[in-house]
Amino acid sequence: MSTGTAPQGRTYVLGQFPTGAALVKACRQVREKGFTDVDTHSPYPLHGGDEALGLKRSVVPKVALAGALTGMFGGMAMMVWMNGINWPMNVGGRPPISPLSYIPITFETTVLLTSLSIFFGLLIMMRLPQPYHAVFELEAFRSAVTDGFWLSVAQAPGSDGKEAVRELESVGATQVSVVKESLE
Amino acid sequence: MSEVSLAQIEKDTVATMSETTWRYWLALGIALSLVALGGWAWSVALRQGLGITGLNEPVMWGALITTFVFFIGVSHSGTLVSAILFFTRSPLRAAIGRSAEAMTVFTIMTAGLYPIVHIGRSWLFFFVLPYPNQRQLWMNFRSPLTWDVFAITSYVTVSMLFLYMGMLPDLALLARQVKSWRRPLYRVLSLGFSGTDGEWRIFEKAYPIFAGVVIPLAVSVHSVVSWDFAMTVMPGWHSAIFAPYFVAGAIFSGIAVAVLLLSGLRRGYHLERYITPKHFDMLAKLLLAMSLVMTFVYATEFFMAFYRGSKAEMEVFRWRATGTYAPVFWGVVISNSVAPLALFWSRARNHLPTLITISVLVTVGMWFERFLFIVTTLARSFVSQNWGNYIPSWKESFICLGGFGWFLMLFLIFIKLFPCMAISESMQSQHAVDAAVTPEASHA
Amino acid sequence: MGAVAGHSDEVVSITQARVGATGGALRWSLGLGVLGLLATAVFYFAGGPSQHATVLAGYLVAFVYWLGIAVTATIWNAIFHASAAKWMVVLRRVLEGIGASLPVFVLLFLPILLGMSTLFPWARPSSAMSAEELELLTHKAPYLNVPWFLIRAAIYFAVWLLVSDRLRRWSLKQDEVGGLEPTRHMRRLGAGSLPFLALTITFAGFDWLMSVDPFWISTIFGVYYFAGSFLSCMSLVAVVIALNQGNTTGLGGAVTRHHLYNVGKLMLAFTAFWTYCAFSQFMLIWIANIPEEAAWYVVRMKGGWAGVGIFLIVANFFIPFFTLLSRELKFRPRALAVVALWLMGVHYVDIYWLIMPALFPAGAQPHLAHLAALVGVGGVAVATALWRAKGHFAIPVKDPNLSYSLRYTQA
Repeated sequence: MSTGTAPQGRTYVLGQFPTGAALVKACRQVREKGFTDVDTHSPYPLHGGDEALGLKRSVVPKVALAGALTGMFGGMAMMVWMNGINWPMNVGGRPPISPLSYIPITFETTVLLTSLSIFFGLLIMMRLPQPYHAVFELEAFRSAVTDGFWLSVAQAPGSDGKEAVRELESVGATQVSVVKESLE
Repeated sequence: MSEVSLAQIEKDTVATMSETTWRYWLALGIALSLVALGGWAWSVALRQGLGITGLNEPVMWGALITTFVFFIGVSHSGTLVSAILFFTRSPLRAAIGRSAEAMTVFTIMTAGLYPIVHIGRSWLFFFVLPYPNQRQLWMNFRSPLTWDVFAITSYVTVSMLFLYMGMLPDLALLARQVKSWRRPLYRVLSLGFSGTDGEWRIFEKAYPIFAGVVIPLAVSVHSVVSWDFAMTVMPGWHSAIFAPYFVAGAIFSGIAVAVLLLSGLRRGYHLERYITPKHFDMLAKLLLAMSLVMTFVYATEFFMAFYRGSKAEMEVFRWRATGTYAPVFWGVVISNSVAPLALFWSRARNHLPTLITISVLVTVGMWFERFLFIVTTLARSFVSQNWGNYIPSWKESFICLGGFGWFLMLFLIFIKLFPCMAISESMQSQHAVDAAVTPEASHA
Repeated sequence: MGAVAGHSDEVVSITQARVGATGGALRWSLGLGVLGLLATAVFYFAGGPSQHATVLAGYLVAFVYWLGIAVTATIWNAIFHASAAKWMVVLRRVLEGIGASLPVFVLLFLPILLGMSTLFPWARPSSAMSAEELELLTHKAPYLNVPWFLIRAAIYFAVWLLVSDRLRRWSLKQDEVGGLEPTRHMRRLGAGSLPFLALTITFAGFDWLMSVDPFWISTIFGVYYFAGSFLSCMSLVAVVIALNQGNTTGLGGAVTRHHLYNVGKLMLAFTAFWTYCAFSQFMLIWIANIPEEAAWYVVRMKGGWAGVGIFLIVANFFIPFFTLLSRELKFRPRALAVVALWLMGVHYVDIYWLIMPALFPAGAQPHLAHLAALVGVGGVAVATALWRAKGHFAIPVKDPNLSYSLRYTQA
């Protein structure tokens, strides 16, 4: 491809690996060689249980907590205001503001907002929806799901990616391809 | 499942979506006919009013509310089974979790229709929502019926998100794999999820929290439904144990329906390798445990009616077992308390026709159990001058049957469009097995 | 704690250790127990008739409190067997040990038998009661009468003793013979005994707790008592783990932070379950507001008891629930043990709050005898458990699932 003046997309070098373990190993080696923008693509999470033990703090629980608190106080406040302040309603002699009978709905709004905040928080953190990604251009990337262990190395726009190709081949990729990001 | 190759899992899962047998068309045909029948009956009810049903003084809640409670119940076990199998890290989950979650979503969508049918002027159902309105009124938040509105809308939203979130990795896989018109569908729905390490890290953190939130939600929804009855002072309804009792009944009926759906799926798509006797054994054991809980509660309720010493309540319970509906009562006892006892024997648990027979009995039995406690209390409450019987009319029964068709239709459409087994999760558990065999891989 | 599982030589050292060095603990608990029981007796006899009710009620609270923990230990054990849970194999001896204290409760039940007419109004219908109340008691007499009460108590104890003893005996037998046969027996018995255990603990709750106020009923009451006891039992397991932390050749060497985490999770779940039961009962009665039901709560929402009720909500739900949500805390034995002790303490207050207002509607009247009874019954029960555990292995050394359990991790 020519290096004209028109803006160019980044170059992605994609390498396929036979197993998840090989992919993780290759990823580590490639990073050590100084390639910084490296990403793995795998059909299931590759890292073991160590993260699950809380070595690294995730922001997800905080997002969930924020949603929970909003739902809890929002739900309770809604009911107190509607049934107790804006239009005090006497049903069967129970006090207009009777928090005890508001608990079930407060619980439901808490759970609803927790779930919504986790879901949308997840999308935002994953930067989804992501309508386009260069890796999807590669036909081989759509190979059978079962051997879909890929390493992608992003290179600056205009790069031919030769260096990365050599590197991926040297760490044991079974198949290496170069994809250019389309900027249309 | 570890003896099946991953390529095979993928192939078989895709086959459930692309290959359509006569069995499928037959099931869909039955479902659509039931929906048409129910739809017609409902349209009559909309035009002529609820007079076409058998509802009248004193029994103002009947088959429609029964069907509502029943379907809410069935929806529970789906979420609970899926979430509990997730937390116990059971390898059984990959094959049945998805169908169970789908069952939850569709049964709750079915259940939600019935209060709307039952209010008569169904087009005004939005009156139950808290929005500023010309009537200048808010709803009464102390009413369990209002709690229902919140509980069910929350539940349907959250269980759909739970299903979708669990399906996201699979959709991404399929978007890459499948050709034909499905590809754009999966591509849009997968949102561009490409399985990067960062994505997986967030996913793995978020999904357990979600599953953890879903369990208490499911419990709360059926508790709220039980309080529709228990918050009154009606004899036979006003009982503090109603909330856990309803949740147990919900799981009970839900497992029975899950057995039926899974055995249908297994037969129709030759999934014998995935939905194994182990799954059915587990479900059968749960069914047995829940049956014992139900028997325990039935017994406690009768004992408590005596112990409370309220004449009205004793009369309701006496009449339930000996009055007009006695055949229904004893039928329920046989189907819910006696028949499942056969599952104590492992031979019965592992003999699928037996298990299916028991599940059918339990499904029908649980519908009638809900019917029984709703109707007998209303038919036999405090004032003896106000006693009366109730028999659902034909059109009313059609509306109820329509619900079963509606649920089946939604489920059948779902398994055509989406993978009914979790591909990514199967691969993950396969990976765990590999890791255990070759220690090197476990350092991955 | 923790780093042990997985290394075969260390597993061997664990599997050779028997519970032996309990001498100090055994002597102390026995001494305190006997002292406590004696003190209770002294309070009863020296205090004169005016003190009889309060001392006996205090004793009933203590008895029901400790008994609930001992019975639910057997229930936990049966549930783990029924569900074929493998992770908890290393903790099984703890549950069996707590359950092994049950025989002594038969003896400890005697004071309640002797004091029945003081404790249970249905046992002595008096002219001070209203006509309706007397009529209700007559109606309930086929159930609430002394001989049938005794027969029921005998049935409860028979079921509990039989199940806990059988489960324990098979388990100890496996220590010698090994193999799958005992496991099969235990699983079968665990599953089969659950309906009976559930019925007996529920009805024991009705008999020994609810009938203190024979005019009031709640269908969930038995489940409520069970929920609190179940939670306390798991808390006690957490405490035992923390106490054995230094004991690397015994329980402490086998139990890892992963087991502890599961114990914490179960505590969290049952804190929520207790709250669910409490809420179901209270809200239903509050909102329906029927006089014969509401009276029970009216007493507990007024005067001295109001504060106790609020304390229970805060102390048995808000504090432990939000504390236990923390992931790190459930991995730390000491921190978890603090929460566990807290929960056990609150459970005592809960039982106290269930029984005492029937006798003292105006407010709590703490009495030294209450403390003496708590220490007395508890001390004797703990001593029994320790004495029976002596000489046996601290974990089921030949259980086929032991190696799985030792290596169990939170993946």
